[in-house]
Amino acid sequence: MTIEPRKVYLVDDDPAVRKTLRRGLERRGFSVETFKSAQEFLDCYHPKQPGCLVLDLSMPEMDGLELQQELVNRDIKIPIIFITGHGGVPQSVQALKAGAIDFLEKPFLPDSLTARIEAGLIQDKINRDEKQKIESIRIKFGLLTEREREVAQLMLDNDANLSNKQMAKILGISPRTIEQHRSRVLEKTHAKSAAHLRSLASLIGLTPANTE
Amino acid sequence: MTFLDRFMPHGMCYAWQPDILWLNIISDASVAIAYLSIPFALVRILRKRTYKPYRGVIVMFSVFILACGLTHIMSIIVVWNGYYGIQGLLKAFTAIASIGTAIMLYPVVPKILALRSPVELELEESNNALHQEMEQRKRTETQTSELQNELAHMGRLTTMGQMATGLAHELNQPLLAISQSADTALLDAKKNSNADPELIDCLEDIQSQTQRAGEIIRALRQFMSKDTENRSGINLNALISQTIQLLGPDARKHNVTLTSRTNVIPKPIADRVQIAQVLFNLLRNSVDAIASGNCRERQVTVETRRNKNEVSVVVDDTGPGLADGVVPFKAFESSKTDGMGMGLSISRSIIESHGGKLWFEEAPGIGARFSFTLPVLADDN
Repeated sequence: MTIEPRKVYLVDDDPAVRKTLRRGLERRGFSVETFKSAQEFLDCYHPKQPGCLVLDLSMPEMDGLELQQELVNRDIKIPIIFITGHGGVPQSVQALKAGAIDFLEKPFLPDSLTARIEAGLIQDKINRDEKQKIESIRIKFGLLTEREREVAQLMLDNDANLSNKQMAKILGISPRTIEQHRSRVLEKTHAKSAAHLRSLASLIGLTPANTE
Repeated sequence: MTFLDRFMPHGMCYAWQPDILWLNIISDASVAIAYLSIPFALVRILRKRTYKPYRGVIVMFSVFILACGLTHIMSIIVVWNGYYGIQGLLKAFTAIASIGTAIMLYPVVPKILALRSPVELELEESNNALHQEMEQRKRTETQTSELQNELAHMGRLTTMGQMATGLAHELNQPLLAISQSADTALLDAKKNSNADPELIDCLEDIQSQTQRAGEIIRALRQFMSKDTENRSGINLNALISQTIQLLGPDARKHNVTLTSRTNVIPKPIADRVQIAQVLFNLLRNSVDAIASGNCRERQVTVETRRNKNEVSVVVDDTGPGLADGVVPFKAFESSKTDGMGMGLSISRSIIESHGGKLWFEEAPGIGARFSFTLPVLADDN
């Protein structure tokens, strides 16, 4: 048993499929939550919960592809493994283009599904770590005071490599104060250098001349 | 005496007896006047009519009757002046004209007999028109029945194919469940160190045989979906009117009006018969829905529209809409007592295999609306 619960969300309109897949996956140490429709999943799933989505392609009302689209619209990045009894090539291409991990035709061997789920969970972890990292950078940047933000912006804009004196002139404060602000900015954002600060800023979508 | 000289006047033969003399003269004069007037009438006819049947005969007849007239005038002249030579020449000419006319007339007689009166002609014209219309109808009927035959043939093929596909989908679900259950049982059995090896073998067999069944279904489906070579640019509007024709008797029986509102649309690349099958399915569903629903308004409308990269066809009906709990497009599910539940499922597969979409919505007002789209090339006009 791993420390993190290996969570699988299963959406399929067929109760027999839900029951047997859930049992099989649980025996293999996954924690499984089942949903009988795409809508039910949308209603119950919270994006904060890690996991991997095993999704039936053809369902009445909202089908698998539509749910995938809806998740993209809601900016929810859960890895998806499609399972289908139809095996339509065009749909599989569309699904994979929209970021699905894989497309399995029923009946598949349980091992091939679990292998994909493992990959999906790793992908989810990476996505979440990335998201968390970005979130923490955003928080750190949020700690900056208004003046520090002005200095940070100048540091981001700094193609000309402005000296403290030049910055001081622009902002109308003393070079000494600029120096203090600069080190506070680096300290608060955990940046090692101005270049590092720029790369962190770009991760959260901050570009030169656009700190807000 | 030469040939053209004057001989004794013919009046001498009458002994100048006035009654005989004048009887002959007046009779000859009357006959001549009558004869001479006939060619004028004939010439008039020939001039006025643009259509001139038997022109030769008429001209010949005019010459003949003219000559006859002249011989009678000559008979009057010779009463006082005995130009019998000239009279003979004139008679000879008349004889030739008469014989010529007679010869020309005989072959024409049956044709003239066959000539029709204006009433008959009128009758014939309307007869012709009727005939043409019948031909046209027959052509349309032939086209429609050709489509019907094609549909029936294709229908059998696709129904087979789609039943296989539908069946495949329906079967894949339980197969997956069987496979999963066997696998779980296998997992449990293997945990147990003194498990019966035969049991494990059994479970492994179940597992591998469900996979095999899955392979068979997959192969079947691939075999069925290969058929894309029959595609070409199709005239959707024409296909719609043919389908409406085809359903005409059925619709009339149920007192349902089928109308189309077609717009100018580009030709989608598609399999004509397959699309006809979709149209047929949708329209017949609508007719059936209205027939079963005892509706006051009994109207099915098909509309074509042009969108950006696709054309769409919308089928509206004034029927009762879908019954609660009926999931459209699901194979083997039907609200009709005699339905197989394949129509919509097949139709959707066909449209999707063409890269389009087929969907259902409640129609504005009352009834059901089924729409489908087919992609067209962006620069296609």
